[in-house]
Amino acid sequence: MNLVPSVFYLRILPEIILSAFALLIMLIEGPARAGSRGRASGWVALVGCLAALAAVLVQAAHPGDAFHAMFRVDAFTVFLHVVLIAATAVVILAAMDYLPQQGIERGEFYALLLFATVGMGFMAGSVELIMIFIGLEISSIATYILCGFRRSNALSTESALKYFLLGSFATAFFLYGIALLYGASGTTNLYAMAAQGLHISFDGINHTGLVLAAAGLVFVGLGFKISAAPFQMWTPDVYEGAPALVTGFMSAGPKAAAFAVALRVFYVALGSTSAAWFWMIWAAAILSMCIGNLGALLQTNIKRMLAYSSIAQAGYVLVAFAALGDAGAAAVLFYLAAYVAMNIGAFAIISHWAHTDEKYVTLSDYAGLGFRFPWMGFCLSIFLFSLIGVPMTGGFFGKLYVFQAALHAHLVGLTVVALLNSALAAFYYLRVIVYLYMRPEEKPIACARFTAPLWLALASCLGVTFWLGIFPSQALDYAVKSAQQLLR
Amino acid sequence: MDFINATILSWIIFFPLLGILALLLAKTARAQRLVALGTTIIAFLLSLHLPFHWNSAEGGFQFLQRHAWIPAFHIEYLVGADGLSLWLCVLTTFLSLVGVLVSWKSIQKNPKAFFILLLLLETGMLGVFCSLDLFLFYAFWEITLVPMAFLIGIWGHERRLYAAVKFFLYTMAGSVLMLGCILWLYNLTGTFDFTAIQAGLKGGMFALSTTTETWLFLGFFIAFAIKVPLFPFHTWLPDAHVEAPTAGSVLLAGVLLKMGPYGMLRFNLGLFPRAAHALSSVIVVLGLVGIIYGALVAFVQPNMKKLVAYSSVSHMGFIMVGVFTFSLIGTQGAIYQMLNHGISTGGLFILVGILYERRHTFDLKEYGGIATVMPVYAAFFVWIVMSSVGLPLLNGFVGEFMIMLGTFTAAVAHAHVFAIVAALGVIVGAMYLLHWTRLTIWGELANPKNQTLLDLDGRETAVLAAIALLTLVMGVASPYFLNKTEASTSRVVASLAVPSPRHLRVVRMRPTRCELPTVNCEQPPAGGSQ
Repeated sequence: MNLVPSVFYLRILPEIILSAFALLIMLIEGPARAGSRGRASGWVALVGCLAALAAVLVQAAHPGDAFHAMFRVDAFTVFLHVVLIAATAVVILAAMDYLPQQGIERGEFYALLLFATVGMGFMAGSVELIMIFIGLEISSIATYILCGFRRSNALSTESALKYFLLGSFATAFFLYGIALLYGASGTTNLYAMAAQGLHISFDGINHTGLVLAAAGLVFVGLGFKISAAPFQMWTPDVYEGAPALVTGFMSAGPKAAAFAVALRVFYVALGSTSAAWFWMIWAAAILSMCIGNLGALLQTNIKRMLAYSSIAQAGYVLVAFAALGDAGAAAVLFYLAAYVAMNIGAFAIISHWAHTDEKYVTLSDYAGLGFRFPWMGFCLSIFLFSLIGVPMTGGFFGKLYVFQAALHAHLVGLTVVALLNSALAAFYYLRVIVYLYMRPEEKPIACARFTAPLWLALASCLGVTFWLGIFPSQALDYAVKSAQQLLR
Repeated sequence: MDFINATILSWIIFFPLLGILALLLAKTARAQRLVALGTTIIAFLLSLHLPFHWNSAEGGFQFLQRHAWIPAFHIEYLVGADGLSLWLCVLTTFLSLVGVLVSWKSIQKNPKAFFILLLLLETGMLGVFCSLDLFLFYAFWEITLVPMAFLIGIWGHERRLYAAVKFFLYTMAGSVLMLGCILWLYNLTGTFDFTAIQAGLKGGMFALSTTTETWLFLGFFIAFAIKVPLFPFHTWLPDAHVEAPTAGSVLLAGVLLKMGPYGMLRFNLGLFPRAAHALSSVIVVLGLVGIIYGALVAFVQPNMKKLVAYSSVSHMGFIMVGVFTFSLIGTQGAIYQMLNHGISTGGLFILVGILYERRHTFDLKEYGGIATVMPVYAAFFVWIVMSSVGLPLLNGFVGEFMIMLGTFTAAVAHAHVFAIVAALGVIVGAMYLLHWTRLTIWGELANPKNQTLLDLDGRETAVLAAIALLTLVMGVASPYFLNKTEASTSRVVASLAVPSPRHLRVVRMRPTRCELPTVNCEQPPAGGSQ
C-alpha cells in the first residue's frame, strides 16, 4: 500500500546517478594501483555527470512533486540541474589537468565534487525547508573538504577551517530562520506556506516581526553562501587559500544553488511579504557591488581579485533579485548560467597557469602570457570581457537582462548604481588583459603542457559564453518558463 | 541584383570577419599583410556599391535588411543606410584600407594579431553606422572598443598602457549610461527598432515627459560627446592618439570620432528633438570652446602628434556647432566636415607617422627644413595641411563654409555670435597648422640627423596621393556627395522644426526674424554652394 511510486525515483534520477557514481569512485579508489589512481576516477566522475545530464532529460519528462511534496520537478529545477551538473562536469575536466600538476590527484576529489552536486541538486529541487537544509549541508560539507584539499599547504588548510567555521555559523542562522518560518506558518513546505499565506497576524497576535526576523535570518544564511555583502568577509581569504579550481567551483555551483533556494524561499514562500524584505535585498545588492568592485581594484593576487569580483557579481544578481516577479527570477537564472560558464572558464585557466604549489597567481606573473599562449590568452580574454559585459558574450546579455528587469520594476537608482559599477569593474578585469598582452614578459613562468581535458573544458565554457551572448533565445525562453513555473 | 541590394550591407559589415578567418590560416607575415590588404580592398569595393546604387530622392533608409534575432526582447538584426551613414561607411572601408597600407612596414611585432584586430575594428565601425536596432547598435559600439584598446595597448608608443586603459574606461563609462537609456527607451516603447521608436515618438504613440526626454537625451549625448570628443570630455583623446600606432590614429580620428556626431544626428536629434532644442545653446557653446581651446592648445604643443590630436578637438567642435544649430545647410556641412576631417586628419596622422618611422620622435624641435631632403613628402604635407586649414578648392573649405553659413542664418539665439566665434576658430586653425608646417618643412635643415632621411617610397606616395586626390575631388565636386545626403538631412532637420516654447520666445524677441520661424525646412537646397 505504501509503495513509493517509481516515478518519484525518476524525478530524482540525476541525484541517484550522481550518488551512485560517487560511491563507485570511493570503491574503485581503494583497490586501484597507485599509479593510475585518480585519473580513472576522473573519467568515471565525468561519465557520471554526463549520465546525470541525460537523467535530467528523464526528470524533465516527468514534472511534478515527489516524496510527500518535498521535491518538485518543474522547469526551474531542470534549468538549475543542467547548469549545476554541467558546471561540475567542466570542473571535473579541468581537474584532470589541475590535480596531477599539483600532485594531489585522488579519487576523493571527484567523489566530493559529485556529492556536492547532489547536495546542490537537492537545494535546487526541494520545496521543503528541511530537505533544502539537508541539501545545503551535503553540498557545504563536501565543499569544506575540497577547500582543504591541498593538505600540505597552510593557506589551503586555513581556508578550509575558515570556511567551515563561518559556514557552520551561517548555517545555524539559516536553521533558526527555518524554525521561525515554521512557527509563523505551521508548515515547512514552501508552496503550502505560499498557499495559506504567512498570516502576519493570526490568533490575534501580530507576527510581522516574526516573519521579518525569519526572512532576515534565512538571508544571512544564504547571503553567506552567495557571498553577498555584508556577509562577504570570508570570501577573499577562502577563495585565495582554496585550490584554484575549487575556488572556481565554489564561486559557481554552490552560489547558483544558494540563489535557487533564495528564489524559492523569498519569491514563493515569502512572496506575499515582499514589501517587507525588498529593502534588505536592495541594500545587499548595492553593498555587494560597491564593496566587491572597490575591493577588487586593489588586488594583485588574481584569485583574490576574482573573489572580490564574485562578490560584485553576486551584487548584480541581487539587482535582478530585487526586481521581483517573473522578469526578476528569469534574469537571476540567466545571469547565473552565464556567470557559471565564464567564471569556471576563467578559473580553469588560472588553475593551469598557477603551476605546482600554485606559484604563479599574481598579476605580474601573467605578463606577456597572452602572446606566449595565444589560444589560452584568447579564452581568458573572452571570459574577462564577458565578466566586464562586452556585447556578444553571455555576461553582456546577462547584465542587459538584469538591468532591464530592474528598470522594468522602476528601480532606477539601483540600475544606475549597477551601471556605474559595471563601468568601474571594467578597470580591474582589463588590467589582467593588459598584463596578458601589453606588458613585456620579465621572467617567463614555467608552464605545464596543456592537456586535452582542459581544452575540452575551455571549449565548453567558451562555447556557452558565446552561445548565451549571440543566440540567447533558447536559454532565455527556458529561463522565463522556469520563472513562470516557479511562481505558479 | 535584388539579392545584392537586400544583403549588401551585411556583406560589407561582415566581410572583414571572413578576412579574419583567412588570416588565421596565413603563416608568413607577408601572406598576412596580403590577406589583410585583399580583404580591405574588397570591403572597400563592396561599399562602393552603396553610392552607385543610391536613390538620392529617398530620405529614409535604403538597403534595409531585417531578421528576427532574439524574439523574447524584440531584438532584431536590422541594418540600413541613409544619407547620414552612406559616406561614413565608404569612409570607414577606405580608411581601413589606408590603415593596412600604412602598417605595412611599421608593424613588425605580431602582424597577424594586428590585422585581425584591425579587421574586427572595421566590422565594428561599419556595424555602428548601419545598425538600426538599438541593441545591435550598442553591441557594435562596444565591440569597436576592444580592438582599438588592443591596437593602442600592444602596438603603441611609450605610455601605451595608460592610454589604452584610459581610452577604454572613458568610453565604457559613457556607454553604460547609454545602455541604461536604451533599456529605458525599451521599457517605454517595447522595441529596440529605431525606426519604430522614431515613428512612435513622432506619431504620438509614446509620449515622453520633458524630464524623461531630457534625461534620455543626456544619457545618449554624454556617450557620444565622449567619443566626439566634446570639450570637456576630450582628455582621453590626446593620450590615445599620441600613443596609438599610425593606423590606430588614422582610424580613431577618421572613423571612431565620427561615431559621436553620427550618433547625435541619428539618435539625439532623431528621437529627442525638444530636448535637443532646449540644450542646443549649451552644446554649441561647448563646441565653440572646443574649437578655440583645441586650436590654442595645438598651437603650443611641442609634440606633433599631440598637435594633430588637439586639432581634432578643434575640428570636431565645428561639427558640433553645425549639428546643433539645426539648419539644413549647417547640418549638411557637418556631415561633409565629418568626411573631410576623416580624410584630412587621417592624412595628417599618416604624415606624422612617416616622419616617426624615420626618426622615432614626435618632437617638433627635432625637425625643420624637411623639404630639402624629402621634397615629395613636403609637397603632400603642404597640400594636406592646406586641406585641413580650409583652403578653397580643397575639401575642408566646403564643410567649414557651410557650417558657418548655416550657423549664421540659423534660427537660434546668438547665431551671429556663434558664427563669428567659429570663424575666429578658422583663423586660429590656420595659425597652428601653418606654424607646424613652418617648423617642420620650411627653414634650415639644422638637425644633422635629418640629413639622410629618405623620401617617400611607392607605397607611401600612393597612399598620400589617394588622400590628396580625394581632398581635391571633395573640394570641387561636393554636390556629388551632398546630393546623396540631402534628402535624409532635410528629414532630420525638418523633424527638429517642432516649435518649442524656447523657439517661439526667440522669434518674439526679434521681430526681424518673423518670416523665418521654420527656417529649417524652407532653406534652399544646399549642396553645390560653390
